[in-house]
Parts: sequence; structure tokens; C-alpha cells
Amino acid sequence: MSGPPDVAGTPLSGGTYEITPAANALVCRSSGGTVALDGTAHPAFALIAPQVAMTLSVAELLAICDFDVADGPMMAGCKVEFSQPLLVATPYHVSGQIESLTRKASRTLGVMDMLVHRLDLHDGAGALVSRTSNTWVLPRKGLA
Amino acid sequence: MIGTTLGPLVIDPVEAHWMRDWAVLLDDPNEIHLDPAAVRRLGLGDAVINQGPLNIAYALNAVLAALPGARLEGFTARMSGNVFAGDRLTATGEVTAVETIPGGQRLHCTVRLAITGRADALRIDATLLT
Repeated sequence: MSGPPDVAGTPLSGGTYEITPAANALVCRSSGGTVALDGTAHPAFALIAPQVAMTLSVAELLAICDFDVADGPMMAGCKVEFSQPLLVATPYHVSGQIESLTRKASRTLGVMDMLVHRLDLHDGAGALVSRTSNTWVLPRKGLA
Repeated sequence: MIGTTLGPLVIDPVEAHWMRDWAVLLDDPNEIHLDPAAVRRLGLGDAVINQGPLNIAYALNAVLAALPGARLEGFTARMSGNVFAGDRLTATGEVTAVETIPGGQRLHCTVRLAITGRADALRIDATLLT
């Protein structure tokens, strides 16, 4: 079984994201929640904002992992830490990188790559607001 | 406080139109969220599949609704099954531990997102500050 591309350390920094009231309302309404009245945003934006504002699109991120987005990547899990709540109508800057891409063989799922990337949101003063580590499964059916 | 029930938050049914909105929101072109034919081609089922962050949002809402005023400090989520359009979901959990910390408390919570008729979709472990 050959190894995956060596992409650990690839930077994902650079973009900016602002949670609009409309986007916050959509996230709350679609997930069975309610909009907070104190200006805080739904915590799911710790997943949404950095994914949208990172340097690469999802398709580009997967492409440098030698994976086609049409082959069905799946989120396996995540870890999110908040230093402070996310706020609506506040710009956040994204930094982060690919932490690892490792190949595994599963008796039930076949060959797959596990992609881990970290994405941080910082406020305008540069303070860390949230840190998100995502793990995705990239099925490698052609290698089964 | 230990044993305080979180939820239930029921989503019935999971609706495909929200997946289209989240695909735009997440800038995620993965067709398994948009086209049942893409799901069938990959051998994953017959209906479009919910985005993972949306499944997580359901579970977080069960926590936030039960503990108003508490501040989410962080969470881990472990996905264990796909959620399809048409599924009935129930997010339930409880406060499993309480720590006394300077100025307040740290609540440890667990929430599972159950799919009627199949295995759970995910589990979340969260901590909140009060």
C-alpha cells in the first residue's frame, strides 16, 4: 500500500469571514435552534467560517491530497475550542494548516486516507477566538 | 445539576432543501448533499446526505436550549453514521459532571444524535462555563 501525498504543513491561512445576521438566522432555523438576542452567533460557525475563508476551496484542499471531491469525502469528527463566543457582524481572520494525511486500511471500509486540518479564527486585534481541528475520511476505492 | 437532561430536540424529517442552503454556506460542492444519483453512484444509499456540520448543529442546539446563559467552551464530535433526507432525528443528552472553577462552574455534557431505525449519527462531548 503506497502512501498519500506529503501535505502536512500546507498553510490554509489568509481569508476573512464575517457572520451575517441572515447566515446566522439560516443556521439557527435549519438546525432547530433559535437566534440569540445578545449578538452571539451559532457555534457551528466555528466549522463554517474557517472552511469558507481558508486559502483553498474544499475542492482545492482535497485536490492537493490527490482526492476528487466527487468521490465522497466524509467528515469523521472535529474538536472545537472557544476562547470567546463568535459574534455576528464581526470580521474574523483565518489561519491554519493541514496537520496530517495518513493512509489506513479497514476490513469494512477498505483503504482510506484520514485528513486532519486545523483552522483558527482571530478577531481584529489578532486574538484567538476559536480553534477547530477537523478530521475527514477520504475513501480510496481504487486502492481497495 | 449532574443528570440534567438535554433535549430532546427532534428533527422530522431531515429536509433536502436545507442541505442545498448549507452547501452554499459551507462552499462545499460535494454532490452527495445535492444529488441522490451521486449518493447511489458511490453506493452510500438512495437519498442526499446531510452535511456533518449541520448534524453537529442539531446536537449543539440540544445543549444550548437546555442550558441558557452558559457559555460553550468547546466540544468534540465523532460521526458514526450518515443522515439522509427523510430521516427522523432525536438529539438527547445529559450533564455528566460539574467542576467548580474560579468564578463559576464547568459543566461536562454528552449528546447523541439518534436516527430512528438505524444506529446513531454522532456523539458530542461538550463543556460549558456558568
